[in-house]
Amino acid sequence: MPEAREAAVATVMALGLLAGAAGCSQDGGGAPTHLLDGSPAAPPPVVLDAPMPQIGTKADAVATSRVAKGSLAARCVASAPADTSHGPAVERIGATGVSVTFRTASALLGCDGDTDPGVGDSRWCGRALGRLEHGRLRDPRLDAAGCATPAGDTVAFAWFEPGPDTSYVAVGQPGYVEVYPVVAGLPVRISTTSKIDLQESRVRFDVSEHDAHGVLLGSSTLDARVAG
Amino acid sequence: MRATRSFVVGFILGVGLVAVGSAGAYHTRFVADNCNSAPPTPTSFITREGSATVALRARFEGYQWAGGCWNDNDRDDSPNDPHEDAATGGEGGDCSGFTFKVWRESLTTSDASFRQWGMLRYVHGPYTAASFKAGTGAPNVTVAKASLIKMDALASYGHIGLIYATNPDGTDRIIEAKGEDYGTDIWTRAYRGNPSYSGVRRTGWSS
Repeated sequence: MPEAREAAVATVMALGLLAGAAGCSQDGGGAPTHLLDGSPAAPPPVVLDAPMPQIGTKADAVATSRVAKGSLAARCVASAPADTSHGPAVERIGATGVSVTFRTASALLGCDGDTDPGVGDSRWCGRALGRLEHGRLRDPRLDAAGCATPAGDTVAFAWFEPGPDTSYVAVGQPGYVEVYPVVAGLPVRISTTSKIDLQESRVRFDVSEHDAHGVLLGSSTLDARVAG
Repeated sequence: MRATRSFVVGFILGVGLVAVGSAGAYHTRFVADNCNSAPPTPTSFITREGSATVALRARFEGYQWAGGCWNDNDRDDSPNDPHEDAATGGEGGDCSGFTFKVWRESLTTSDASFRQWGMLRYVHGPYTAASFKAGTGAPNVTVAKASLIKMDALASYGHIGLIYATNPDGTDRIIEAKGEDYGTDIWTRAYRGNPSYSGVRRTGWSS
């Protein structure tokens, strides 16, 4: 019994230390207080079976034929090869990256950004084209060349293909977990500033998948390399 | 009798698992047996003819998704790798890795200086074809297609090739790592007239 109490005390102390670290790290690179569009960083709609704190990202699906002029999706779709879009485009706004993903007849196209999408001169810092084979990507199309935080840290992007029952994809970040809702059945363009190996042109994303109630369905490491 | 049947069932199961495992984990030994991680040699200048020579050494040497290591024996030592699989360990570069090495670039995107990479140095570099198309990185700029000359590039979101020579009819002889089914070679292409392709140049050539 004393052992159990010691273990409980140790656990609480560890959690306290972690919480303290997370709290301190808001000033030093930990959990962000805002998303890239300036809105406050908030927890996801459901609490996931994943480490805390959890930051929800925004995602919205819009028909590529009806995208609002000047919107994220419009700026991405307009720069793609002509009349190729099939189905909706998904706009995502996270803590360090924004993206647009849409499908063509044979490929997935994406645009990556690292600045507030509401700012007039914001531009895409990365593009991606992933070939589809039987509807699935052969490669996650890692982009780690052109995007960076204001502090100069590389922001890497890659597509993650969730399982059929996955409603949320959680990506481990330094000091927090970033949560992406699965939208419109498209692969999720996730981003990170950690585990980026520039010497190997390789990034490892720690990913977990969750159902609509936040229940953990599985976890994996997406080991992505720059290619093609 | 039961023991014999168990043995047979186990044996068949084992053989099946080995076969499935082999099929699911195709790779060659080319990278493991031949490639290295030697640092590049800083170089004070590069010429277009010099880069053409670097490119020609990769000719006929195959193609590897996410790869960047080859010898100079004029054959693909790991033919028929699965498509777009970075883990197959085969010989050759892919289109963007080949361009990175031929253009003698740095792994640091803010660094425009010159790096001589050995043929057998396994390196891809930070750029995809889409990155090159956008002129991403300090060494790379987009230029009008009409002004492209030898060893400049034509890049789409999914592919990049280097101009080896121009043809009178407006097409170009392109040296490129085309794909696993094609390898690395020189072909006549109409990329310059294809709106999906943009002109890209490595900056800093001496001549």
